[in-house]
Amino acid sequence: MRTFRFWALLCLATCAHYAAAEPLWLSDEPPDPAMTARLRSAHGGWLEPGPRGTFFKRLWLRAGEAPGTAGYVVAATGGELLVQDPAGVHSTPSADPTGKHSHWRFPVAQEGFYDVYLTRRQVRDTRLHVSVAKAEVLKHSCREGHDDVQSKMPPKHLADIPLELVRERLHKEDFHTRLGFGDTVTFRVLAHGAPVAGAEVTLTTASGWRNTVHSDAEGRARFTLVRDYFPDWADFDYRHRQDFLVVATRDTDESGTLDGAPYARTRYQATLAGQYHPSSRDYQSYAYGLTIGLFGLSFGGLGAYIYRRRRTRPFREVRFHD
Amino acid sequence: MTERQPISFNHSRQAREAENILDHITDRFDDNPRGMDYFYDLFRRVYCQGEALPYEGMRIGTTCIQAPEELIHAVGAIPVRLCNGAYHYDQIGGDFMPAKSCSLVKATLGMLSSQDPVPRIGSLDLIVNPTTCDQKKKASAMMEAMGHRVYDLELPPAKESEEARLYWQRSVRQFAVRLSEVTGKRLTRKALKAAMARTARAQAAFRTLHQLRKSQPAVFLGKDAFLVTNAFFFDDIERWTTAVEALNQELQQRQQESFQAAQRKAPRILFTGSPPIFPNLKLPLLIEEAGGVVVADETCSANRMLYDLTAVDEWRLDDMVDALADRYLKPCTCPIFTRNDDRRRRLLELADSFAVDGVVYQAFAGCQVYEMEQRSIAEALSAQGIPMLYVETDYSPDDMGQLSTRIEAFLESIKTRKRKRA
Amino acid sequence: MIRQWVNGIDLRRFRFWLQLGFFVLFIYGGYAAVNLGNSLPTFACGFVGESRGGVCYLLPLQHQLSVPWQRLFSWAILGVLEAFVLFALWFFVLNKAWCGYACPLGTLQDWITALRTRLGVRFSRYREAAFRRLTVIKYVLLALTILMPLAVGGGLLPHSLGTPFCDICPGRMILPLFTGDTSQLTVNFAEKSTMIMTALGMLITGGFFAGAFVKKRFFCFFCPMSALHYLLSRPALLQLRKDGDKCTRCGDCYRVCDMEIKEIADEVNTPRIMQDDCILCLKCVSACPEDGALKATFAGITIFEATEQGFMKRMNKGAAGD
Repeated sequence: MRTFRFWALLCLATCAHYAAAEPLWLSDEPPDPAMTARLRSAHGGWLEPGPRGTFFKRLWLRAGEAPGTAGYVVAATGGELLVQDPAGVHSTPSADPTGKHSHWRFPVAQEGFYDVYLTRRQVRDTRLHVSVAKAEVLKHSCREGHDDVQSKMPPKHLADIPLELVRERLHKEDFHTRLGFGDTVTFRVLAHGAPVAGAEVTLTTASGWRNTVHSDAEGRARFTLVRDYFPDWADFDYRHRQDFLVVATRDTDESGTLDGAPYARTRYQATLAGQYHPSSRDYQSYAYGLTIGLFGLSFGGLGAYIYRRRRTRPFREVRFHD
Repeated sequence: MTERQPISFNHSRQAREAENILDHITDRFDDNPRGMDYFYDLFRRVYCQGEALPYEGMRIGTTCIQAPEELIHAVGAIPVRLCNGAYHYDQIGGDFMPAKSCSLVKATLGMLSSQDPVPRIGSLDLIVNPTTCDQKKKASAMMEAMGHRVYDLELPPAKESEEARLYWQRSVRQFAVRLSEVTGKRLTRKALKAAMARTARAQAAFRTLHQLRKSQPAVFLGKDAFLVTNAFFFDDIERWTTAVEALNQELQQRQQESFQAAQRKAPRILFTGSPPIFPNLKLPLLIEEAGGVVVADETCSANRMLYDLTAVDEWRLDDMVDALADRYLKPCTCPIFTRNDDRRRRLLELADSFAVDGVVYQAFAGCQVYEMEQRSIAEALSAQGIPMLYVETDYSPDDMGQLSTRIEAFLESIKTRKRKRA
Repeated sequence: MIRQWVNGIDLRRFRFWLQLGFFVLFIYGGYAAVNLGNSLPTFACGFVGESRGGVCYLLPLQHQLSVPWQRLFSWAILGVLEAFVLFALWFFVLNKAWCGYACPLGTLQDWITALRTRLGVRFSRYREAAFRRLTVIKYVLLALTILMPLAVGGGLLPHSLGTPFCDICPGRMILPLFTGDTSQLTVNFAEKSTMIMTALGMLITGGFFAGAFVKKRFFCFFCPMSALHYLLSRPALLQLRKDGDKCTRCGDCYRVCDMEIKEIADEVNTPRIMQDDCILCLKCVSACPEDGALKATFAGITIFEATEQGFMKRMNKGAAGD
């Protein structure tokens, strides 16, 4: 009885909480280990293998600014997703009714990036809150080859999305590129496809480290991904995945009514989550590599040299031992 | 050395011996190639008239084909092959060696012990004596006792093993160092390259001549071929090469004109064994006078001396000297080595590619290694249906009559076989 | 007439240009949109970035074998077989000439050899006993190249040992350098196994330069690709043949053999003379003065044959130099 009350309270608290300020975002990190077992780690995150070599993507709706601790939204708050596949075709899958958390499952058949949007509107305190949770889902299998990667790399956006975050690609990025500590990532803030200057953009890492900048004239906001993973070397996992969350907000004076509720101001909030990993700089060492290489070279060279010098003494190959 | 000019050299015994053979070679055959005149003339001048050879620079005598002549050329010296074929010197050399020993070794020793020997090579700055057969090994000390400076070039008794090869490469390297000491000239890459190119050109000329002898009917006779390669023992290498090249051209011409140096059906003979060295060309001469034709040979006075070519991978002294060492050891079919597979295979290959009807195997009395290999060679040949005549002889002309009968019988049996087969 | 010209060819120069061509093709071919696939029987290193013209078969082979056994022994085996068949088809065309003419790492060793000769340093050779011992190494490496990824798939080894041969292959370190990519010259401390393997790789790379400087085709002697080639070489189209009857055993072929294969000179009974260490560079054919004793045949047709004339032309060229 007490536990029930506790959960009910917690649920109410979370719902109220997100309703107040917590940004909503889409994540492919499953809430429970049972689900993890059904997924497979692939380039760009988790994939669920389907029958006959097909693959599905699952996305969960989460609320909270720190990706490490953000909660999962309960199933009651579902809705339609807008999915644009790499070829630009749109589909609108409904929320998956299974499980207790609000999530979606849709097929990913094509190689490349799927852009997924979940838009919500709500009037609170005479302000319209428009929240656009976006996920950029990569589907890549090396068996499909790597011939036509570059044409599929450029990020896309939709003109009818009121506020959208678009991650620009790194130099020479391809399907295998993993963002790492120390990389500088650039996001563009677009409203209906047009860049938004001066929007407040916040990046939060797993442990809650955050940085807020304002977008420049072209709508760009830049962040350097800081190291946020400090294990002992013995526990160090170079594949360690951590999520970051980027939130852009834009306030306008637009007024009107939504479902009968009048509002005088509007706040747009766009979210986009991503993942990053320890940088190869964290665990790869040129110093050691070149030292060992030089050692091999000089040791080998010296060995050969000395051997060749010594070999001038002829016919000593047979040795006798008492 | 005091010059003791014989009153009339051309009346001396060795001059008459040489003249007799040369007359045989030139007069008993029609249509000798004009290109041979150079060689006839050379032998007449050197052997019959006792003309001194116009060598410039140091002279280095060699007693076997294994002494790399390119190295000698490269340090500015001239190699002279000392192996001698004169009965006259054979008799003199009898004082040094047991009665039953090889005429060639005896003749060489006899020549070296004589004052002012023929060919007139003058005083030698060094004699290189590869440690081949026992008789040559023991000759080394005797040559030294005669007052010659001798260098024993140590040759391994086997050639297949890696140890033998390295041992020999080391011998040759040390020989190169010794040559530099003797001549006072450093061995340079450039000089060795030039020397190797000159030898390669001579070998190319020899090979062309060799290949020409494949033609059927024969365009060239064995007695002339031996004379040509014998001249290589002492002649200037460039002059020799030019003369052979001219001869080759003439023979090519003859080939096109379908010239026949011997009868169309003349039995084609492969000559092997102890080397015919002028003036001891009696066996090839007997064969060809009896109507056969010596189309190929496997002897160290001709084919084995000049046939095998040197391959170098990196034109650096280090690799070049080793390459020379390999060339003088690996393909060598001298019977002094432990095994004779290569000699047997070489003979079979020559017999096949020169369309040979029979093999004449000469063994100098006292040359044990040739005598010992006779049996295995005869078996290998007979397995291929090739008849072989084994002739044990020496430099003395006494057995001429008996040999001529045997050879005629051998050639006759070949002709009969051929007729039957046809 | 054509035949005479071919047999008299300056093989050294022909090889230099052909090797250069293959080198450019494999390292820079990607710039010209060349893609020969992932099953090349030569070290067209997959670690060379987008500019590569194809990928060495050992990389996908190890990848394919390192998948979990459950998958490997079901449908994934088809992928393994498909790649292998493709590899075998490529291989059958050129036989081991892939080593002597196409392999970029082999070509690089030939360039190092050229540098050494310029500097006037003599080369080293193995003693025969050492040769007999060392020649086994490539089979051991081949076995490990296959067994270690299999063990990874079975969970017996850590996942990072999935491409063990690539880890230690000097091609991975060296060939990307030609596109300015130095990222492989590092020691990877991500895991113990990667640390050991990358350190070993750098050590071998250093040793590679030292070894290749004094020993012609130093690495080829240990190459597991060479071992794999040999196992498949019987039905290949390009073949090296010897007519033992014509051989004088002069050893000229053995002298010039970069791989120190003694059989080429000594063996007179087997026409199929190609040994496991052979790189089919055909230097032996070009250094053979006996007409027809050695020859290269393609589908039974003689394409290059030892001739007296050809030999003299080539050797005189060498002797006339300076």
